[in-house]
Amino acid sequence: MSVTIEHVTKAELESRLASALARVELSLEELADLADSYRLTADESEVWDEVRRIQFLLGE
Amino acid sequence: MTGSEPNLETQVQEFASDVATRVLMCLEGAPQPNELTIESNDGRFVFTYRQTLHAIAGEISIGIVQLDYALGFDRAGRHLAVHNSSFQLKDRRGKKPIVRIEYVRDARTIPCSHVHVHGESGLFTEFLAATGHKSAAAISSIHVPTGGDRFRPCIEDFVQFLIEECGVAGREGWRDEVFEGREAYRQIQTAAAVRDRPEVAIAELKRLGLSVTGELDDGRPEPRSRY
Repeated sequence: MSVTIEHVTKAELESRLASALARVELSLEELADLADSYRLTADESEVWDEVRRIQFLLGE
Repeated sequence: MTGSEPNLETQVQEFASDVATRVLMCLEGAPQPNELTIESNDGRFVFTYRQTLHAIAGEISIGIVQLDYALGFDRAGRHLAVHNSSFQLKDRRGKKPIVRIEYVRDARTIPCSHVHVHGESGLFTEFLAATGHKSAAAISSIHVPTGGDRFRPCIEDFVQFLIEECGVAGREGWRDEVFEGREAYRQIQTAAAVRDRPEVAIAELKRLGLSVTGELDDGRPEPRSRY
């Protein structure tokens, strides 16, 4: 299996964060509240995982 | 970019390749997708590996195993460290988790190493409701502790769990692969535990009849003691 590293910029990550939130029509705070209370749908859960990956890469 | 980043990148690439190869060599199934991409920004790295699971080799997929890692430097800024990891058994569409083994290096209010079980239990919900738990109906909200930073499960434990406890199809030779990977992991974790508590290691070595010389570094980080 080939393994490659892709360097992503802060601007790209911020753009992806906005797109991910738009897919579920929620703000970051609303999504975090749903995650905190374990009320995420399957689609929201996927977006939440994506948000956490982006936040880690951004150092947040 | 700092001078040490290329070395860390190499370590991350090797780590990701080792993890994916180990799972692929142990479990029947196909990677989804067939290439592994690691995303990186400013010395931090994330990757996800997904593979189909089967009850019988070659037959229809019954689930997905998904591994997520977030990696970077350790506290000393010298070694590769896992900041977050998640080993998930998911439904056949890969949408809904069934069991998750997770590690959160910077956890403050939950066990840093824990298991989530996505199930239902009337008795457990009733019990949690009686304590005033904020999400009593969601059993998956409970973080069952699994040994803290140093003694948490490795990916080989999860692979063996999937094969022996859940009954998914393993490939020929999976036991040897699991043994080899687990042994390597435990050597790394033992070394980390010794760095955490060298006094204990020294006392044990002396009890075994060995002598240890030298002075301990007073400036070393505090041992990890969370659950």
